Amino acid sequence: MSLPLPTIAARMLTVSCLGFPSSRDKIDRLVEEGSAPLSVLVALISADPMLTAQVLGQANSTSTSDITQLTNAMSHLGLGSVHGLVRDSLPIPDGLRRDLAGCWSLANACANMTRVLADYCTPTLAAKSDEETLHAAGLLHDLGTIVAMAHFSEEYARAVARLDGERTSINRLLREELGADQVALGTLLASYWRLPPLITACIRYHQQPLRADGFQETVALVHVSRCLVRACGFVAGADRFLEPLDEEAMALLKLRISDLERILDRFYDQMEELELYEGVLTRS
Amino acid sequence: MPPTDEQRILITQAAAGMVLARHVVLPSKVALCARGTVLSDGLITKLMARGIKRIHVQGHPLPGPSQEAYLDSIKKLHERFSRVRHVPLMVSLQYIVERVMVKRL
Repeated sequence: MSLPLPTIAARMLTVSCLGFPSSRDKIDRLVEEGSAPLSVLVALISADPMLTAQVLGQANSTSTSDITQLTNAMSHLGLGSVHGLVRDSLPIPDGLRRDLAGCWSLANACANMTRVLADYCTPTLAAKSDEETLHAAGLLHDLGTIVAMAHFSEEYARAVARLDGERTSINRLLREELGADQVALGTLLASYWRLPPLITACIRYHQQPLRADGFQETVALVHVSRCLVRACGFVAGADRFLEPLDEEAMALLKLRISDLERILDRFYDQMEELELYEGVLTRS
Repeated sequence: MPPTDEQRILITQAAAGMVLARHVVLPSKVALCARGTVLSDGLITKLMARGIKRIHVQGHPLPGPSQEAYLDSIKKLHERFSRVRHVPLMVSLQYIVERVMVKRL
């Protein structure tokens, strides 16, 4: 039985920032020591969708202009406030780690793919976004699934249990079991956490990018990126069945199917380089 | 799994004694090393310093995924696409993803 919308909205008010203890401890230690350059802290925080959302939201709630770059958000808030957010975040419960690791992985893959795709499409894009904004757009587009898994876990589990037997989407099953799908949950969280309009549009319309008035290109980039990385196996939990690519979004970005192999090659090259970078960090 | 006589590896995985299967070329098209060169520790360090991230070496000096792992990843790929087989664009995408996966083994 699904929940009434006011109940869902009320429960969303108490959604807390969850994170993996190992990365939170590392960020906490680096901020405390005070020796790490801002770029290193930005790189670490920008791999964490919940923390990135909180930092961007806090910055936007006290800013007169939209802030979509993590570097600007951290400069606006100051390291003391960012440190407070890091310390206030809660560790992900053991039972959720595997599924949420999938969400983190999908978020990061989509963030990288959004940058790769934007770079590939640069000559044809009408509006140019900076790399940090594109990263945040890809990273945060599916916050709703994180919220569904972490804060409505029983309803999410019931929806997932029906996924294999019924040829329908997780969105529809979540609407039936919970009363709201992951897009609605993400949009509500974006509103509560005061995320900027561009990021909110990516969360709300990543499955229907042509409906994102004013942000169609960026949302189309996120839509295509999400589809490509899920096709490559970056899926969150049991929600592994692909939805069709929006052909109008492909047309908007002037992408042809023959472009996709080169884009996937660039994406995998970049993922390898990230692993290389992670390896250097680990050894040092 | 198609057999190949070369392996694409990260420069950090390279070891002295490995033999280059392709020329190492900078993005500016300047050639740094010729195919057939035997790698030494010094040469690997120099290539890293020039920003080279990947090289192709002869044979398969590093263990790749097993046949079972490959077949499992293909099975999962087919499952992911199982509900969009009626969409021509997605059928094409599936072929592309499979080709990229094979290329990167």
